[in-house]
Amino acid sequence: MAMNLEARETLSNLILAITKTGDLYLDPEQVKQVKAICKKSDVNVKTAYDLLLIQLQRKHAQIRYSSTQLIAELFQRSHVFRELLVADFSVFLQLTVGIHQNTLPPPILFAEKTKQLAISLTNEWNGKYGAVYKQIALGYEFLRYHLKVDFTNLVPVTEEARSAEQRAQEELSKRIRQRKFEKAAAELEDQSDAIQENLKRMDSCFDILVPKLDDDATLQSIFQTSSESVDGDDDDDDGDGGDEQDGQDDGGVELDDIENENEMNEALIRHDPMGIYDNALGSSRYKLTIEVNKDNPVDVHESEDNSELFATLRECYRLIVKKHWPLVMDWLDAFMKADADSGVQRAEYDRLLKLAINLKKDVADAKSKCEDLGVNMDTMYGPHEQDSDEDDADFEEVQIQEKASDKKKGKLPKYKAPISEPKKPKNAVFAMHGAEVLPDDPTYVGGTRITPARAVAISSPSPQSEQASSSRAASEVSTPPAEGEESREVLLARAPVIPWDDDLAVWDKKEMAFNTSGLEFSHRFLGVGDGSNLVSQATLDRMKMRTTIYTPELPAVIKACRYPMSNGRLCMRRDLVRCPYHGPVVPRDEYGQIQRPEDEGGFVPEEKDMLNDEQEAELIQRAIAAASSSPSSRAPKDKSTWEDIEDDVHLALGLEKIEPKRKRGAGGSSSKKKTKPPSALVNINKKPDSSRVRLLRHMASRATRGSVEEDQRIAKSEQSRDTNIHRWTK
Amino acid sequence: MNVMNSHGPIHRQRRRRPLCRNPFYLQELGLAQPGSFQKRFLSSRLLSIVLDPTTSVSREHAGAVNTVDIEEAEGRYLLSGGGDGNIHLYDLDVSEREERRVIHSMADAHGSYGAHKGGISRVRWYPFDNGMFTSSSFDSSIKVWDTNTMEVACTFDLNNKVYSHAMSSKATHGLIAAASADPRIRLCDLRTGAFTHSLAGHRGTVLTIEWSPRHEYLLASGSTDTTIRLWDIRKSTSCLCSLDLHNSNSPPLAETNSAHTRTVNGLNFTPDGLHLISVGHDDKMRLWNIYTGQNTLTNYGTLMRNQFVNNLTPLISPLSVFGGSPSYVFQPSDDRSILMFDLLDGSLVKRLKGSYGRVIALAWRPRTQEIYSAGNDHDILVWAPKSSNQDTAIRAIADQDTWSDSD
Repeated sequence: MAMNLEARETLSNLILAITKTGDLYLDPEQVKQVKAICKKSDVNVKTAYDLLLIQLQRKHAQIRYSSTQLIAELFQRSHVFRELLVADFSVFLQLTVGIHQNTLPPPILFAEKTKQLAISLTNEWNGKYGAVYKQIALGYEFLRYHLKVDFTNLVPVTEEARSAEQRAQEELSKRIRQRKFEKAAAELEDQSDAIQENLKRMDSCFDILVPKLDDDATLQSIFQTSSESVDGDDDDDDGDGGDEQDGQDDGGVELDDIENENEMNEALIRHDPMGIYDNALGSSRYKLTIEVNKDNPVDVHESEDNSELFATLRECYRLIVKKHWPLVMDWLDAFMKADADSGVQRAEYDRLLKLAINLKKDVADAKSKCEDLGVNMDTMYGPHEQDSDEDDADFEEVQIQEKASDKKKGKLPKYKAPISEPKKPKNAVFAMHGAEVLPDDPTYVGGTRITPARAVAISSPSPQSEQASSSRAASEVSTPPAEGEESREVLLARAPVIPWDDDLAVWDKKEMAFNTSGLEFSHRFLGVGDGSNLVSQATLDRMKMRTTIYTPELPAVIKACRYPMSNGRLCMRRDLVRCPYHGPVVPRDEYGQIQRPEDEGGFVPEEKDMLNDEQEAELIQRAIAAASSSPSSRAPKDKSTWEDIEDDVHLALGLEKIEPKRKRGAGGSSSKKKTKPPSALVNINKKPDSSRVRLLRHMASRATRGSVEEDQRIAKSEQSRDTNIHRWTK
Repeated sequence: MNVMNSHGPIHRQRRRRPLCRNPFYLQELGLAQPGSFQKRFLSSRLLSIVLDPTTSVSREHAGAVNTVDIEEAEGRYLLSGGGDGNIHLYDLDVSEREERRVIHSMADAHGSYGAHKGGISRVRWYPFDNGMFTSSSFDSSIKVWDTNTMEVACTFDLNNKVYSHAMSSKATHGLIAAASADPRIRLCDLRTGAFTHSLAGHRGTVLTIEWSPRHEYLLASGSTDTTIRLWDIRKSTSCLCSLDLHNSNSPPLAETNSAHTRTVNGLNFTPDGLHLISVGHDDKMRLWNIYTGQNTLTNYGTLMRNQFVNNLTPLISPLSVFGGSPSYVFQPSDDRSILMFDLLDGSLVKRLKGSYGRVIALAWRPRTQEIYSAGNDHDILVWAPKSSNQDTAIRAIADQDTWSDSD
């Protein structure tokens, strides 16, 4: 049993080194070395066990924590080690969990960690070896019964337990998927007939309502209507115009296909927001565009004749929206997720999938057809907005506008308020500060759109309303409409659209009177003019400035750190540049290993593609460059977080590092500190700095003591003086 | 003399070197002693005693288990008395063929009329059959129980905490000797249900008391006054002697005699009744020769820890009947282990570790050479010789080394 002395020496050194670092994680390289030595012979295992038990008895929780981790590694591997540890299992629990009135040594944080680790280990070992090693089973029972340790929801700590848990999870999810699949299949078989029935019913309604294009007579009639619409008297065409306007007012919410038309229409609307051109044809310089009405492309309206059909359609639509559509989507989802592997099942699976896809297509078709006919989410409980044909005859123009707005309303589900949708600038240079809270402000009118109904109530495009509308589009404030249409369009295309602010009122003014009357020569806020009734140039310049508050745009997706942690998971922290625990955020593979470690420093291009954000990529690149030059991030430093990233930030910004002021005579000690071997062990001998200690220190200081003595002396002399005063002298 | 010396070795050599060393064959030829075969087998089994991984006794007591006893008639039923005042009865043969068995309590004294109101200090089977057992309790009473109905048959009220009691396995007198906080030893007569007389002599609480298995009227008791006294209950001055650890020539009842330097809390006779073993709070174990009343000065070492005021009886494996063979004494230690000593030479043979509570009482099951230990962790543990026919599949998992190749 003579043991190789050299091996013993190395083993001893290694174990000392491992346990004395005080890190949370063991150095895998060193652990590997220990394992390699232990693998050679059982004598080495015995030696390692003895050494580890000595380390475990140290009165320092960090050493115990590291020792426990190493014990877990060896326990898993060696049978001899297991036998040895099991024989002393109660001692192990005493030292790690603190049973039998043993207390764990400070620091408390690590003591708690050691305890948790030991409990998890006991749990896992009991599961695996409890049947053979009674001591482990008894220890488990003891912890459970006497210490009331909760063994549920423990994080697996050994590799085996982790993989077992993973496997169990997969198994479970697979089973759940399979069950879902079976359920969906049964439902599909069960309900597809009902859905088909419903679809058939709808189809027959469509057949009746919508003319088929293969019929000559219907085609003829369609052409006739369209020729009528060229005259501009038709509902459809007018509605179209209104619709167009809506689209423009939305400011790019709806995408129009033809750019030219778009601009032309925009111009038209600018000049004539009330749509005089469209309705009264006031000018010959117009261009008519015929588009299929998006709201009602098939041009079928509900009337007394077809109200029954519509009622049926609504009913079917309701059924589809409420029941069939979600159902079909659920089935599809279940089918997609379920994996059919066996051959017999495969065919069945394919058949079901096909069936479900077809059903989905049919249902979607029917749904969109319904919506084309004006039966949608809002109108499916019946026409709550009357079409009111009788109004048509009286106020035709008004009706058009209203109709357009009605349709607009229909497009916004569950949004019944007719106005107050804030208008977003098309190509905003600056987002207006606090734009998101403005609509709630009752004094704010800037972004609200005046509804056509209101405009009609005003009856004519008065200069006031013109101004109100023009205030939204800043570019047109001072452009007179008399200027050439072309040049104006070109200008408009170039012009930046910025949100309203006070500076826009004066942005083009070369000079400004104090008031409109031109009589005032001074103003409370605008100051005193230099001899004229004009505001001074400096004030005017100041008025043209505007305040914007820069809010840095954060990337849409902040990547997780994904550093492999001791519990087997990956770090979930999301930081822009650097995780405070694990250093710079670098791309890692699914196991948390750094991808392409050889060029860790210069790596970015993939990242760039993914993030799609130049700025952030640059930032990360800088951070990585900084990190690669800085010492390894493995050893946690006793620095606070801002100090931790201070260097990186300085480097990234190209600033020089600010050297902290050294204390007198500390120059030598700081260099000495660096040469000392890195150890994260907490000094537990240092007493906590309590208020009592501070007071004692204060009391013991020479200055305080001196002053106390001085006080006593003065008090004494005063006392003697008093006695002298009151003494009767003869 | 000369001739003897010259011939002796030769003669012995011839006897000691038979043609065959097979013990079976030897026994067949009558060369081996009748008991030697059994002795050899049993001692090897005893040496391999470990915590039995396959058998466990279910946890029934809500407090520390203070005492356990296995009846001698069948070696089948186990009694346990707990600090919760309850007594449980277990059938140890239940589901013996199962791979992994748990022994559940088959009856308990909870709720029966007249049950103990305090913690049980000692339970003992009636030595001659298992229809009756006795229990003593800290509620200052000794009760006699009918096993079949689990009901109290008789109660002796002693007005003091009772730490232990004993019935002679030899005698026909049917006396229960009670060790209580009262310095006098009371003798309770089972026939009349009353006390017969008291044995005065101790000056402190009597913690332990045992009858000799060889002489029916010989009684030994240990007390907090550090003395062990031997009594003959027939005599009017009943105390025979007080044992002296220094073997001084002082009179047998001298005040200066003391068996331990501190409280004596455990006593047991060897099965042949020739020796008495005692333990005390001075962490020592001593072996006394009963015939001479002398300390044999056997050194059991200093490993034992014993600081609690309760009865802590050492367990002696009943192997000494086979004459000259090593017999073992098992002594619970406060460090939650059981120490196994060679009885006669005092060497530590083995240390049985694995209990998570302080072991308070031990019971020996002769048929299977098992030890049942009761501890203050509310558990009863089973210690059995390592059997070869264990669950090999599970064993295999535990036995294999799983070094990964990368290491």
